[in-house]
Amino acid sequence: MNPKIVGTRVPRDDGRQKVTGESLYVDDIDIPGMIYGTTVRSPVASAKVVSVDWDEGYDWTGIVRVTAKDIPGENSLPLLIDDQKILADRRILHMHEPIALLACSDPTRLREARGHVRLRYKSQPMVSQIEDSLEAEVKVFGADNVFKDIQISKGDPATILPKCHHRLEESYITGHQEHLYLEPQGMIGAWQDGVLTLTGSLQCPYYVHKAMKAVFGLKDDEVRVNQAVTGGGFGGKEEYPSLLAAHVALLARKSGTPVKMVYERAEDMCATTKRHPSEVTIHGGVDEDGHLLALDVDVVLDGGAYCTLSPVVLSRAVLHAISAYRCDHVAVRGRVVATNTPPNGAFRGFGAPQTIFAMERMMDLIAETVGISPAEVRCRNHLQNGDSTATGQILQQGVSAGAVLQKALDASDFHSKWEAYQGSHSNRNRRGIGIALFMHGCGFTGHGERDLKSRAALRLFLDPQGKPRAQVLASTTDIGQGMRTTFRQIAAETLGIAFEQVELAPANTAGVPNSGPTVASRTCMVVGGLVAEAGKGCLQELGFSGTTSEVELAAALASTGAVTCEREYEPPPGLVWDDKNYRGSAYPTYGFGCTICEVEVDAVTFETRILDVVTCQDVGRAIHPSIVEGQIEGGTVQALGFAGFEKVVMHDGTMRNHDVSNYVIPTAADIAPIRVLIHEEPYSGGPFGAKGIGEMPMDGGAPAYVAAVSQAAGVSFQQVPILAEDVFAELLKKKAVKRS
Amino acid sequence: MTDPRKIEVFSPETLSAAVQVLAEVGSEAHILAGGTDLMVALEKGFWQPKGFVLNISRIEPELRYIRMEDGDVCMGALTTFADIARSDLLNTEAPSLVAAAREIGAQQIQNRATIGGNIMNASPAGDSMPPLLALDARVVLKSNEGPRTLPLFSFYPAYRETVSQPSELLTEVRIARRDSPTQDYFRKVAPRRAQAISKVILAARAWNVEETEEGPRIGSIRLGVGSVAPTPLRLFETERLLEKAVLTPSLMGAAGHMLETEISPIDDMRSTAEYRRQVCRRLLDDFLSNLLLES
Ligand SMILES: Cc1cc2nc3c(=O)[nH]c(=O)nc-3n(C[C@H](O)[C@H](O)[C@H](O)COP(=O)(O)OP(=O)(O)OC[C@H]3O[C@@H](n4cnc5c(N)ncnc54)[C@H](O)[C@@H]3O)c2cc1C
Repeated sequence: MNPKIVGTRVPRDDGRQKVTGESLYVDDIDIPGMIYGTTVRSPVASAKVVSVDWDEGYDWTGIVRVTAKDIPGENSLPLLIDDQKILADRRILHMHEPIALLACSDPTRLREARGHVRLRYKSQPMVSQIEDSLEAEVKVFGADNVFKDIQISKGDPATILPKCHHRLEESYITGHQEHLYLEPQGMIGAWQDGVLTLTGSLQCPYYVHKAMKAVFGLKDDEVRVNQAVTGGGFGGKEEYPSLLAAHVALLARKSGTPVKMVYERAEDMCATTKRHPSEVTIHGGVDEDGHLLALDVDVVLDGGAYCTLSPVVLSRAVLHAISAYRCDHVAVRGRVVATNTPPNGAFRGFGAPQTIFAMERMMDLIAETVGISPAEVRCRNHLQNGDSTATGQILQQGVSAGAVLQKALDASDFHSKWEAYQGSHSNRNRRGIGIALFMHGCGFTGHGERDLKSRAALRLFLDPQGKPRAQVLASTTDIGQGMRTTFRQIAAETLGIAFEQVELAPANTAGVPNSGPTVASRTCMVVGGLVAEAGKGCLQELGFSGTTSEVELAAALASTGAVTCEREYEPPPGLVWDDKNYRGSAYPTYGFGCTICEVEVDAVTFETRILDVVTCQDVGRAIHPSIVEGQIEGGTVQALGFAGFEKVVMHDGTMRNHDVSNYVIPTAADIAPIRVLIHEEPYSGGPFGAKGIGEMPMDGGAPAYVAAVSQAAGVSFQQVPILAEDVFAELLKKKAVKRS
Repeated sequence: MTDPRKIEVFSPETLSAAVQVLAEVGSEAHILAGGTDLMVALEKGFWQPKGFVLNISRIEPELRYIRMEDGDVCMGALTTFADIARSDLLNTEAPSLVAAAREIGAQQIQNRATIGGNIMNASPAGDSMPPLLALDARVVLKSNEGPRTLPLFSFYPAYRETVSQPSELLTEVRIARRDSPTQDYFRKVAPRRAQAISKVILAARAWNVEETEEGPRIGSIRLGVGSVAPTPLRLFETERLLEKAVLTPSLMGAAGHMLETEISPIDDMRSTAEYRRQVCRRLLDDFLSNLLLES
């Protein structure tokens, strides 16, 4: 079959509404009688709560007040280990932790009233960073501050490492990163006849559904979660919206009216999750030609004050620690630890960008030590079909590391540029070029997908004009990444009808089955796959073995009536995962990518300018090339932001630069046009061969950028972000510039 | 945050009406021009208007112009940075100001942001002030007692303060037209290439640069800097050192040293004092090296 719709650039499903302003975001939605809510937050990072009182001199008429005492059941937010409080009651573990909630019909009064809540507390010592947390003198979590400890081992690195021709050791550091989705967090909650309805800016309706059932002791049909049009998520709206949902639901319950809460930008930046900072130390052993023989990797992530999804983030971090390379003797240890900073959580890439950054810089160090180019060291070590990963997963087919590497090298003219920039250290502006090779596991880790049992359905029916139409029923959400369009393409192609004849049911827990969360680069590959399977099921029910003409389809529907087919995910055969020992198939398949970045460092000001970015990424099959390119470009920009712009200035447990003028994300003017090369190595388990692409672009930008800046500046950097100040300070240290 | 709907706004149609209001209740008036500073301050809660807003944007016919007058290039206070960037007169007479205008915010901001607002906002990081200082700009303040004109270098007594009185409105900025060729310089160092708050700014103008056997001799020089002191600053001492002297590497070193004594950069969340100090010095070096090369 030759696809007609898959692989084409049909107009985006939500494009028109978004461009014309028709799309309704949470802030645009009004419900009769609705009032506004706000959160009173802790001004301290670590404390014992003495009391929460209301200023008696203040006129509280018309203001609804909620504290932890108003929580009907347990004061905990159900997630992995339920350690996070809905509202702090006895202990405060981080700055801006929610303490009380207020609601009022006048939003301005609300801001004022926030200043009249009296919190009395006793300050406690705080843990502000990884080192202090590991010392565990002050305990934020459990006996040792460790949320999760994971080990992977393969072969015998302890014996092999000391015998290697070259032994290398280096530590790498990455900082926080803020999602900075365009639309801040927002949620509306309303109770009617015992049913709680939530409408929010969110990625995972069923996460909120599950959490609210637990918090308020409700049954399945007593909670309804609608996704409003969502202005970006990047993981920031994966787990966090459950907290917001609990807050508006508490306020709505007490006030008896619908309550809307939309975070202010500063509040969103201060209080919500960020990317986990990391410290990764790698001991590497190679032979004289730079072939990897043994690797010992130690990963520590800063989880912040509560566990959130940190263990899962850590899992992906350690599973990507060896990245796209072959190595027979490997030890990886990962820990995620608690600090008195706002909890870190899901963020595009989910731990992988941190460890891949470290591994890629290690590869550069190996190249330098052995005396070969960064391209050559990657050519010698990348995974190939038949190789095994750190967990012993044998990659039988579809390993495209070599192909994407070669395409990116050719398109960027890497070899000659790298040669030219080596050692050309005049006083003028200096250039450098850097490369990163990487891979990203698609879908949930290990048994995650099997346990999720995700479902999606298709309904095929005749419209009043007698034309066949289909409706996709799935709870994954479009958060700007283009899911609505891709799902329509997949359904239309499978059913053999036009794109225009397919629509999507609203992402509402009352109307669509649980398709699992919109995360982990799984939406198109896993849930899109279910949509395709459901499509085939519909045709079968109508007696067709494949697509047919519209006339025949209409005739069959006319006689049978509408058909609905639901499919549940089944892992591909042979996928075995041992979660206790971290052995086996960590992911059903992997995407591979290579990013090359060329920069110039200003000789006067040490500012870096990006001159060129080439990236080649294997998506299995590009269902919609423009959408795939958009994901790759956007993810690469976000990665370059992580690398060279975005510095969360965390001080005394709070983000100091909590505004868009001081937390600097790159603008279009800062990024050279990104040259995207799509590589297609089809995955048999994905719809039309598609793999995931949501997160992988986040993996390569930082190491490529840092390598380029290192070459240009003539000093090697092992951390992100690197700002002009860092280049300057490092050059001063190395006496490569004079302090006059 | 003050509810913007509850703020009283008065929008006079003429300059004389505006000045009259200031004469009567100037201390309660918050002047609003393009609003690009004020609206952000309102949202962040830094600005809590107690009295009323005096919206001067309707006086555009009287306050938005770029023209020659008595040998001066004059800009009305409501001249936007987009106007400045597009002006042929300023492209010839004040290239450093034009360069600054093109780097302020991005196009949307340049369309609204006024030069009067930039000057009156009195931020040490304001981008137009270093070039204006290097261009010997004077500002005109008007009250109902008449106008007074003063040099911009005497305008900022302290951090975010100006010598302007509540009864006064900034109406005009004036730059003397050049009578000989000049060499001009502007460089804004910022964390990104648009929508960025400056970390260091240097603007410079040199003229009457003479060739001598030992090297070029600078007849006159003006240096304006930003983001390296509590206020926009003119570097009088460094200028004095460089004027009428032959530009040699040792003089450049001495000038850099003098510059360091004149500025007082700080560590903050945007940059470090050390970076600002050294880069400011390197920018001066860059400008002086250009003079050397060109001569
Ligand atoms: C996104 C963004 C990007 C920006 N980027 C830059 C940048 O790159 N560089 C930079 O320097 N600035 C920047 N700014 C700040 C701002 O745009 C400038 O300072 C601008 O020139 C202010 O002019 P305005 O007309 O908008 O002033 P307003 O906000 O209207 O007023 C600013 C202040 O000046 C006073 N005022 C205005 N006009 C007069 C007058 N005629 N007489 C007396 N007082 C007066 C007001 O009372 C107020 O205190 C940026 C702002 C934003 C929002």
